[in-house]
Amino acid sequence: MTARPAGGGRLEHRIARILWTGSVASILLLVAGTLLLLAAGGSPVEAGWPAFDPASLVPDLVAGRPAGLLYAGLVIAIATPLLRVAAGLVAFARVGDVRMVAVNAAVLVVVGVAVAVAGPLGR
Amino acid sequence: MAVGLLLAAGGFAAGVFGALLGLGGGILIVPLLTVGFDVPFRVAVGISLICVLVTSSAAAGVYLERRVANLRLGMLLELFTAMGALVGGLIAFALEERVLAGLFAVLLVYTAWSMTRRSREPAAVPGLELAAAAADGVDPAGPAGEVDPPGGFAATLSGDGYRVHRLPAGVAGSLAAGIVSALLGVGGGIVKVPLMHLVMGVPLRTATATSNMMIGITAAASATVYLLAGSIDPFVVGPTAAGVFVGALAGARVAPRVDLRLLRLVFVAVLLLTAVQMIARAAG
Repeated sequence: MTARPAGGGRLEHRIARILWTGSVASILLLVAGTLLLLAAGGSPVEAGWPAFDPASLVPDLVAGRPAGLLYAGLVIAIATPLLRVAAGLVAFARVGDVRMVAVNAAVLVVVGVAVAVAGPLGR
Repeated sequence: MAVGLLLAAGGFAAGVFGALLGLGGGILIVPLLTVGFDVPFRVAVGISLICVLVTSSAAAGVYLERRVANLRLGMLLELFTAMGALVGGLIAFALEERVLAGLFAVLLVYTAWSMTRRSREPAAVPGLELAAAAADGVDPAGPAGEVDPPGGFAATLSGDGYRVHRLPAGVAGSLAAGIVSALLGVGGGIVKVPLMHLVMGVPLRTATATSNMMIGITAAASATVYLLAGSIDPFVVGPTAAGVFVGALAGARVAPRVDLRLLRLVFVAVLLLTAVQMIARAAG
């Protein structure tokens, strides 16, 4: 029995594209945010940093604020492997591999629980 | 400006050395930030998680494209590393930073010890190239002892030329690897690769690639905790992660041409010196 899930390697190819695109996008945003910060005379190791606020993510990004670009890079970095899991879930569902669908769904549930329990830890 | 460049340069060095020596880089980034830039330990762990996350995502893409990683096995085990990471992330906020520094010192000593043990083996590079095909030395029939029955779930996780064994041990080890990763900001390959290779009978190259793929979800679960808890400084992440990413690319490129024996010895010394500094932090 081999470890080929579905589509004779198409899933691996699709996932590889997701991972590579996501990591490059997040790095580009992190670099752009850092350059904007430095251009504005800021320092990466200042006394504090703006708290992460999902509601202000898009407005900050559109306005070209350094924190907006940097937090967008962080969110994409974290979301990239989750997209990979979602792609796996869909691919395994298509071929009726119930156990692997359950595994991938459970992974997403664990991350959902992380979001739920981590919120109250906010500073 | 100068601090940003220093962070990027430090990240670059961590990326290069991590790729050359078969480490994810987290083991270097946390000391770099805490000792070099006086970043609080917990914040350094959060930043390190993002660095290993970005680097491992890029590397895992290459491994999957080349069909080196075992996708099904990785997907199963990462469920448990993610659970461990969630628990570890929460424990990290309940422990004093001095305790975390002490635990990190233990990890540094363990890593130094394991590097001296494999000083005669070629490195398994978690960058964008598999630098060397180490002699696997694994019996295709699996290790002696408990064996899953033919047709069991473990059989569906096996790959070409090998069968996966001792799945319960793999699950337990993955939970532990997730906790270590979230507590200390490392990828956890130092636990997962030996676990899959020596315990579960997975060839070393496949174990390395699969471990790398699993880092993404493990670090995503714990980084979520750190991000929402306000313990990731985006201003420090930017230059550091960019440096690590580029460094890992460069390290993977030059790895086949570098004599790693002397480099490993130097690195072991650096790890032990860093461990002493971490112990001093834990004691202070």
